[in-house]
Amino acid sequence: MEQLLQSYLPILVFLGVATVLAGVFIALSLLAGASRPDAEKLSPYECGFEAFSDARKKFDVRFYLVAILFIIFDLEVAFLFPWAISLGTIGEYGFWSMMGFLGVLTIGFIYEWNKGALEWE
Amino acid sequence: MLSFLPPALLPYAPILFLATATLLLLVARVVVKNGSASLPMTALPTSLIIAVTIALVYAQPFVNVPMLTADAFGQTFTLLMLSAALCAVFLSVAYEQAEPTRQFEFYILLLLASVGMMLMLSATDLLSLYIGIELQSLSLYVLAALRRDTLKSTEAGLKYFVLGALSSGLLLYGISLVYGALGTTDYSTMVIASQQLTAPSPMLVVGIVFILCGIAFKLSAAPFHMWTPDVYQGAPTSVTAFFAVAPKVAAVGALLRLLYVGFAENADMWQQIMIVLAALSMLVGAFGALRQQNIKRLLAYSSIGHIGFMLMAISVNKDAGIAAVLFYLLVYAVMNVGAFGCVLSMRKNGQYVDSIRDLAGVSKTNPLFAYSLAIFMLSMAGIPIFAGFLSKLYVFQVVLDAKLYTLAVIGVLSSVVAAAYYLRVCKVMFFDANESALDASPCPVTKTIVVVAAVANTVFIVYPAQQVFAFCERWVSTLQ
Amino acid sequence: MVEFLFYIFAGLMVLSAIVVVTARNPVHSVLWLIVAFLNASGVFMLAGAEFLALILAIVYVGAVAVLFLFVVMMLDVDFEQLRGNFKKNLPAGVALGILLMVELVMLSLSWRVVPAVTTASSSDTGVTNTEALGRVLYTDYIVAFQGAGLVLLVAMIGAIVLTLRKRDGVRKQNIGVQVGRKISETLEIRSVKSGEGIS
Repeated sequence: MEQLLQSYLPILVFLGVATVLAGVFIALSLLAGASRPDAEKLSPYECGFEAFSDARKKFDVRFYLVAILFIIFDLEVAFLFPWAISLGTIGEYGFWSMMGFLGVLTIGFIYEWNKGALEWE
Repeated sequence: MLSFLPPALLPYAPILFLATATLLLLVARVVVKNGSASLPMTALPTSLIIAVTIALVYAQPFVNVPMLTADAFGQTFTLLMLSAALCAVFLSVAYEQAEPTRQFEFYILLLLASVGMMLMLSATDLLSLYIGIELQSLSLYVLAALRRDTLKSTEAGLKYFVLGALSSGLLLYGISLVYGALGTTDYSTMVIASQQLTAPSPMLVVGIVFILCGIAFKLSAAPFHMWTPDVYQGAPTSVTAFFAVAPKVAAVGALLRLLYVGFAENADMWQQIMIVLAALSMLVGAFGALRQQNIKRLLAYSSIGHIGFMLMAISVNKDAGIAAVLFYLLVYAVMNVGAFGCVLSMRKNGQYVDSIRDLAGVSKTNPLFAYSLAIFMLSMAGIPIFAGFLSKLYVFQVVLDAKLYTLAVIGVLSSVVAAAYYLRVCKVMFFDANESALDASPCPVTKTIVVVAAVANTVFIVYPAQQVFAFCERWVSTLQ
Repeated sequence: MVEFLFYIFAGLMVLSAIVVVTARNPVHSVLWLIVAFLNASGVFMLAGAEFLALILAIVYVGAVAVLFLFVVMMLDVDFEQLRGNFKKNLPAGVALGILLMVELVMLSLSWRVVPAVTTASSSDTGVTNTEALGRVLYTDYIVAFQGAGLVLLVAMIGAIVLTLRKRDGVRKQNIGVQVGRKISETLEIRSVKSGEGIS
């Protein structure tokens, strides 16, 4: 266990350095930067006009569709890691097991493609 | 019959066939682009696939494989579940013709949900049970929201999804606690591990409670029933007809196997929970429906009440309880298929209606419809000579044998209250002034199903009751 | 050291979870949710579950949180109005939270895990976490694995059925048709006499 954590020590050090650096930047700019706000400086600036509307508006649902399809294939890839590592021990059975899984998702892919879900009109 | 399969795959044959055929149908339907005009033509291969699966389940040898089992218990429930799904496909044809959703995915999702339900019914491991439940409910969420352009349907889908996701979380959390307490997720090993427990384990108790909460959501047992009326009302009626029977059969079967096999040693922990769930469901089912004006909401509350009766039979923790549950479930399936057949023929001026007031005086204009619906209502209420009476009687007998008198009193009380709203539907049909007639049902399939179910409910007491009763008694010993 | 790190990660996780529900700006909520996910990943790592830790970072931080941000940023919802309900439902929510909390505390006081569970996850056997998972997932647990594949398929179908719409009147470039055009279909050569137009 200790050994496992040892191998991730560089990442922890990296995280620590990143946090400290980010903190220093923010702190320094807060302390050393000139800050004299007035009403005009604090108002939103949009090419000289007042903001027309709220930043949030209804977007095309297509964006979500693409994001969801991405997540599904992301998960599929997550299943591939342990499979690739242990393929030597699980043998042919394990290989065909994964082929079945990929087959199901390929059928899903064919479905998406033919439905036109991947097209952007 | 199945000798061409490699022996390793033989135990999976029915489920493998169902899944593969569904995938092929999906590909065929999306690659061959002849539009959605031939939508009812998707129903034909779908019903064929289910029919072949039924045959395969029937011919299946009984074996255990990792995480799954094929035994007589699972076989009976699977056959019942698949038949209910088949009826739902038949009922959907008329709906599709009248109000096309133009989405062949209805049938694909129905088939995939059936795969999930088959997994649930043969699962002998908490993990395969979870995957089965998840596959089933994910398909059902989408089905509920299938008419995405209507507000009610999207609302139904959203509500169902959010609450269902919560219940899946509870279920999974419970499974992890049980695994922590027992060190396994396999039913038979769980029994051995429970026997070896030296001290009572609070972790196990909390785990079982969470698992039961999760399954109660799927069963729509009170107090986890909130989604049921909205989903029944909002979903397209053909989908509701599917919701009302097959998923209930699957959830009850999975629950029975979980409690009587997996947690056989922990009956003292789950029995009280089941009693409370049963009592609450019966009361909610009875009192919730009293003021409903919509026939689909009424049937939703009625199904909550029926689930209460089944849970009451499960809570006795005796073999007789299993027999009573199966008997009840059989009758419930026939009643509900028929009742939804009726709801699916409620059309006025070319539009579907689902308010009880629309039924006023239809006994004069549509006598066949009125008498069939009346039979289902009386049967659900448990009025003597109809099938529902026998199933309720059987449950009461089992519960009284187990000396659960309070529960029995609550059961009687709630069936008296429930009779009021079932009879109100009959009163509206037979004694209220006629406003306008229902359209003549154009679909012979729906008509046949309704008539067959109505006749079956009426003559049940004379002919197959004895045989079904004997079958249930004999069959009890198959659950191991 | 490990214990110290655990309390850092766990403490940060609880803190960021609190900020998720109390932050005024929903976009900030999602960003704090990412912080919570990352800390959970750290806790997983300390427990020796390196595969889970990294998958959490990849799938939840990389994909799910991004989708959340999408939804929160693009939905036309008045969050201030939703916040009104927050106050109204606060007592019930707090009561439920306390109930769960009491349950968890009671559970942790009697925490007794079967030895089999702890040995199953140990990495002292010389097999890495990921490989140990791979050895059972695709063979012993094949039913659950293939079931998971079907669940993903249903998710795919569901997303498309519920959101995909065909729009009418969309003009799209069809390169095949463009390239396949012949001169005879598009061009007509007429000789025009001087002083006369073409009718």
